[in-house]
Amino acid sequence: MLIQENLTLQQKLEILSDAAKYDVACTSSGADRRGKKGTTGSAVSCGICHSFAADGRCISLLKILLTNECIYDCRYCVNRISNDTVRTSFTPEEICTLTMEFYRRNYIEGLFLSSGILHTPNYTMEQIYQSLFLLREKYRFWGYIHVKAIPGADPELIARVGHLADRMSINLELPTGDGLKKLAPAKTRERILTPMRQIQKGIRQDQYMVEERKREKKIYLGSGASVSGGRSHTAAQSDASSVKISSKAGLAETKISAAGTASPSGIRKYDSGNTGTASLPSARGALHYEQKSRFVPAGQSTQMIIGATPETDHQILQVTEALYQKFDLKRVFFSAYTAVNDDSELPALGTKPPLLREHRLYQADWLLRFYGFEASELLTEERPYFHQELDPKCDWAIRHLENFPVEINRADYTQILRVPGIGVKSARRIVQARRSAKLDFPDLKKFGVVLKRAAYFITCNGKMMNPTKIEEEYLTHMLTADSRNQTRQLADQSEFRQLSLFDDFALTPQPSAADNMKSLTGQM
Amino acid sequence: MSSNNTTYTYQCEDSTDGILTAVYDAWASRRGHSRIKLQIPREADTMELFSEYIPVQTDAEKAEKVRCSILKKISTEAWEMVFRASLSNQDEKADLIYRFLIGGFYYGAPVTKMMAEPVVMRMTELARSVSNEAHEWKQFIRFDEQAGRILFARFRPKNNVILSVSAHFADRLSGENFLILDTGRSIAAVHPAGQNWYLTSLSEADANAAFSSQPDEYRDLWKTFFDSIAIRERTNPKLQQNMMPLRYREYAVEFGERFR
Repeated sequence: MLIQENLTLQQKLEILSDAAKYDVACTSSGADRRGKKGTTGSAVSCGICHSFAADGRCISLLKILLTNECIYDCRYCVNRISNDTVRTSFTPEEICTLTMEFYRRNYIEGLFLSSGILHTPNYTMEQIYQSLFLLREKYRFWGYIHVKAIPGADPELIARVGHLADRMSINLELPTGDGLKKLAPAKTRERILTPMRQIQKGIRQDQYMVEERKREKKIYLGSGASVSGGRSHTAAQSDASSVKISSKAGLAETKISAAGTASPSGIRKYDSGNTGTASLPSARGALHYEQKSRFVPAGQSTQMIIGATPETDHQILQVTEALYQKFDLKRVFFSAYTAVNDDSELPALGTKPPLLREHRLYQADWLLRFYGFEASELLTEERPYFHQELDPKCDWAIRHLENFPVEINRADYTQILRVPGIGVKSARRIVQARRSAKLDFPDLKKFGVVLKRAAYFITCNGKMMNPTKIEEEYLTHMLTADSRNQTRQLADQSEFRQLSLFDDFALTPQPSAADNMKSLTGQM
Repeated sequence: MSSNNTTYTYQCEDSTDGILTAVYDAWASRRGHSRIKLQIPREADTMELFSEYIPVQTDAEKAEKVRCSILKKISTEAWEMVFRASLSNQDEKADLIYRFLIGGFYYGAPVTKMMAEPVVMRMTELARSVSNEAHEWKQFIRFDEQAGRILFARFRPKNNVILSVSAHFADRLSGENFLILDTGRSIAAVHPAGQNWYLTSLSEADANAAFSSQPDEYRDLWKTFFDSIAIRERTNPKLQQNMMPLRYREYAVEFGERFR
């Protein structure tokens, strides 16, 4: 490992953002927080992207690693210990200034902090805590923070970081435990799922507390007795909460003092190695951010690598569904494996990332989350892969022609939502607009319905747009004829091209026929 | 001159108050909705032969009356639609708002949902395009740090979205001095740290003269980050341009600016 000292901030940023770029999640959504006097920042629930990189992915957060040093040797990872790359780390101060200065200029929506494992999981998590604490309390940053929880770190540490961050995520890395065993021998499924469960429980508990507080704050309008009852209730509640906070702060303080006297108890009970770490600051900064903020308010997400191991789409989708249902995740991200390491267990260097597959998985993911589909409806063990040329919704519709055509003016919302070419927004508009008028095809077009696909599956006032055979083969042919071209383009996008001095990515377009005509007639 | 075929064209200022005043005057004239047209006069316009042109004097009081009736007799949602549409860059907006309000005062609150009605649909489109553009500028505006910790941003929106964009930054960066300049309309929002912000008129040339561009290390750091965060194997300029059209890049640091 080459640990480089004396790098400039620019060099560090280059190395540590380059090493973080394979992390997919860059969303800044889910938290809603207005600005506050004396602080910098706010959070918008729909999220804000600030730029788009050359690969077309959004840049919302300052996505960096705390360090790219790592004790693990996961075969798929650029930062594995056996890779001969330059290693460096940010100091917490550097992370804070970068975040603040970028944020002021509206370059970013907040911070995405991940890290390699330096020394031990606990040490790393502690460094992350230090950075976030500094950012929240000293720099008074009120914007969005997404942070990675390090599997294997002390639950107490994860819990405290969760109150400073908006979203936490733990990478599932690979869709199945077998893949993990093969490619990341130091990690186990259990080690990843334990903190995920902890965060889920923390979020649930937090939501419960908030609801409870709301219920108790309700004022009862009615007879005098119940009003006073309500008041005493709130008083008791605020008492209880102040006791709770002070006891919590007290707890933290005793722990800090314990650490100060180098006693083995308290928060330093785990072994952080002979690294001479600083102890965690008291949870009470000037803003009391940690006490006042909710636990992981923007929820939890995860990501897995697609195409490094031989799982089928069916398996991946099943895992995804299970994560949504059993772990209450906000998002599951898929990352098409980019061949970064030369390894016998992995696709060879130069293999194109499976972008089409990733795309299909995201489409299916949307169907699970917003369209009321179940994983078992989309793929089965007999048909474990997505159709190359049809999106999962079209594919489903063609195999379930008994449900079609759907009458736009009468069918219920859930039925309309399942029609290919109709999305959540257009379905809502349809349901709203048909209360006051009978809808016809031109109306649908205005609502944003893609008639190119929808026309085969719907009727307006009992009529279809064009005469259509409702028959599997015919529809497949009609629908793929159009998407064939597009799909091919998407598959070709990953085509690796050698840079050439003279013919550089079509920057100088070939003259068109019209141009040639113009030059002949002297217009040019 | 007022024969049965005469139409009346109310010419109003291109502002929310201007349009609402015209709505008030036109309505109060009792000349019949079908004979009335609202118009924002442009130099290139040709005059119609059988139309009487009536210039409208913008009157904040009349505009306020119309606003109150919309809120009271239609709905808050309808008012929001009217307000947003009035900031649009489409010249048809004045007449469209008038037509929309005819329906609004007749049907009441349900009017905003009557998408099959072309006027309502078009209003929704205008309002949506204004709020979408405002959201996109909240993403893509870039501040430049000037001497004295002043943040300076320029942008060139199609619709007049400086109000909503500035309100967003006033909330977010309450402790900063910032100035946002709409270079197309020469309007600027000025926000002194910790105080209320206000609009003023300012031309791009004047602003450039006042703010000398100075080297800023974070600008270079941002460019470094922008380049290193992209995955080379997935390069996709078409997708990039779909997500961030060229018109948003004029003043974006990472795409190289025209002015430094």
